[in-house]
Amino acid sequence: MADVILFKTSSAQAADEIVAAVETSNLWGVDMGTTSKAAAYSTWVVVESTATRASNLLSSIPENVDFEMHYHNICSFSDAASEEKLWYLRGKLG
Amino acid sequence: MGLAYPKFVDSTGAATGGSGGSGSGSGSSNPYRDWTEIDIHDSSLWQRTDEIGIGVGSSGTISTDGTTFIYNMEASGKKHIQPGITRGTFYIAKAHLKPYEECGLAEPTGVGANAYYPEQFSIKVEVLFDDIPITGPVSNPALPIESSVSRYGVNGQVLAGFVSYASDQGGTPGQPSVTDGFCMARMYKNRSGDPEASTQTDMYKSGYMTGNAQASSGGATWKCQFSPRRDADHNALIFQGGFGAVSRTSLDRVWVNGGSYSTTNPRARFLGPGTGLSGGSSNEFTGADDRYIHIALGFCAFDSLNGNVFQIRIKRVRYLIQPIANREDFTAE
Repeated sequence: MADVILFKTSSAQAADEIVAAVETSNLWGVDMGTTSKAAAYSTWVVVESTATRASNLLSSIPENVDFEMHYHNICSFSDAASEEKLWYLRGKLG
Repeated sequence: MGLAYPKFVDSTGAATGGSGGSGSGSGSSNPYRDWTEIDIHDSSLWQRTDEIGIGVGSSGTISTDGTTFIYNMEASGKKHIQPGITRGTFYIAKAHLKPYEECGLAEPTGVGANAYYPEQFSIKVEVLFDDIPITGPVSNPALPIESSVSRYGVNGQVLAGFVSYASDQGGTPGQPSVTDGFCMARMYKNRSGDPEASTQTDMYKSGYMTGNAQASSGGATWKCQFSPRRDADHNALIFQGGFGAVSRTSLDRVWVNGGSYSTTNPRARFLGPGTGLSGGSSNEFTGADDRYIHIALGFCAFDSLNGNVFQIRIKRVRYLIQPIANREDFTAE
């Protein structure tokens, strides 16, 4: 089970920098280990991590990044609501 | 009545009579319209719960002068409530809700007093705050105006909504489950600046929180941010329970939402996330398993830092259970 957090940044570059930071295992001073993942679109970023790392991230949000949403122990695709399935699959459209 | 000593009030908060009310007979209470106030200043109506364990911060103090209820978190220590974590303080109405009885209706045959059907009862919970910075250490000389730990109460957070249990708590509700025991509206101080010196629309953020998910939005200013005070600025937290698909599969969940609004201007729109929910667990406030639902507040930090110092000031807590005589006829008690 993983936690997922949605952030909004001030620019696409700032969003990409968050993704890069997660890939190098350190975001805002939080050790993200090797299992955390992140993806960005425009000024939006989603970060997936353990619950402990997610909680630590919420304590480290810089002033220029907005917290938007946080799922704890996010459900599987099969347990997701239809709206959630729709958005997941839309993201796979070419 | 499920909650002791309720007062019936009209849309302005004036008493309208009814059980325990002090109105002058301007109209009997109407469960389809009128709020019921739970006296936040009467500690006999509320059960405080605090998690105990390693890393949990010192408990905040609760006080009231009969007009303003104050939760003061002066000491450092972790005090956050997040999905899956409940290190803050819950302040829980001792009596569980009895939707039918509280509306003067008889429970249908085979329906327990605690049973809640979201499609038949719309429930709101509202918390009115003081107009001074509600999570800032203002007017309290014991707290620093600004320091590395307080920063005007940044990350101080208030929750209002439901906690629920699988069994009757017998008037002494325990600590809610961290994952499926609470679904509430929330607001918190998002920025670190002096709220009386800034008109930032994300100084405070509003939204919802459950054991499974949390979301919040900026976009409104609060009364403390302008002098003189303005009608349209927000001053209240609002929670509403809604429809929920139940008894099918683990996809079932009840949709709730929370946020803030102004009690002094009904044209000032509600602020909250576009969509709220109570999470992916089928026993979170669905009504499907007839949980015992208590109105509750939460006093906590948004984050898990040790240095959370904040103060919360509340003037009034009220709720509305609105029965909808649609799918079945209601019968008076």
